[in-house]
Amino acid sequence: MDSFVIALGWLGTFAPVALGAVGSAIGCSLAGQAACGAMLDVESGYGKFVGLSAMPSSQVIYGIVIMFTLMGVGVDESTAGALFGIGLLTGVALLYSAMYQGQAVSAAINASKNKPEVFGLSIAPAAIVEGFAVFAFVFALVLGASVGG
Amino acid sequence: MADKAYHSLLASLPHIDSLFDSKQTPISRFQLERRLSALNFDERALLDDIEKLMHWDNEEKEQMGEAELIRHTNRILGRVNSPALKELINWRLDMRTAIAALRRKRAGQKAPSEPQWSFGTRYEFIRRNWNVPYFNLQHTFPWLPDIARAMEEGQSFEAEKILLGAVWQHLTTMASKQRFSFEAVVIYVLRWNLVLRWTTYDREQAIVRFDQLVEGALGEFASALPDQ
Repeated sequence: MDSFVIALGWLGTFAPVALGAVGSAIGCSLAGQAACGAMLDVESGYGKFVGLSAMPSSQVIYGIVIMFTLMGVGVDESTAGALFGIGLLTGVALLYSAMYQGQAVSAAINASKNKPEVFGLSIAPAAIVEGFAVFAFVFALVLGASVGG
Repeated sequence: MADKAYHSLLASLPHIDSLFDSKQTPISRFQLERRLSALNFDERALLDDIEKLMHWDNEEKEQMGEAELIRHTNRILGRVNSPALKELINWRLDMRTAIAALRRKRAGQKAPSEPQWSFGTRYEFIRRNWNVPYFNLQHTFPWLPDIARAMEEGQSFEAEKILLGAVWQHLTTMASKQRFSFEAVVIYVLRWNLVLRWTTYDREQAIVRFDQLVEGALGEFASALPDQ
């Protein structure tokens, strides 16, 4: 039983990176496909589409930072449960925020391709989704720091 | 096609701004076909069938009898899994049924006797409401009274314009609900077809007018010209 609890602790520690990576991969793939499609239809400004399509990659970076913070706490019987809860739920939040951010970025690319003047404004929905990922990131760090203390 | 590859396809298609202000299609048919090659075989075949079904005049369809056409339509509808596409196709077929009923009624015909006299979802409703003005469909199809009036006045171009506008409006409303999906691809192609239809009207009219002018100029010698 103890080893199972410890395993859950490790699962929670690595979940933000793993789930964040899955989410970022899906999100960047969606946005990247939209960027590639848009490049077929426009004559210039390819760089901004490619740059924008990398936006969902931030979630995996947040995941890595959270993983190091949780690792710093140390996985033992007293901390494993907390690490599991914090890590897994943060990972799920990062996963979904990256996936949906990819869709928001796709829409932004599609809109700004047709109407370049809305480029800045069209990023707003994706930026708002990023904000939610940042909430999960920051509060995971705050909670992680309080575990074992 | 993998679900998410619609992002690439749809983002590669140029925006269609408006129908009646368009001077030409935003992308040529050749280029459109190249982009649509990203669809898999089944999707491409279904898109072709839907396109033919929704197209206004299609030689293949004209050669079919009514009963065969209804069966053919039902076969295609059976292959459509998307509720949104089914709703769209049925809406368009209902529109065609309503217009056909208006024409029949105007020609003095009675309500059709056969149960499945047309396709779509409202043919039975229309049959039951044959003697009611606009078949009681003026709330469902707000453009129906305008079409009827244009037909009464013999303004076929005006009637066609109202129909195109209604279809355009419906497709635009549907397009706003569909993002990066097969449904969105179908809606795009149908809108493209409408723009093509509208932008070729002038040319068709010009050819007819040109023929009239040539005949007028040739006078009695027009009949001596070889048939084309």
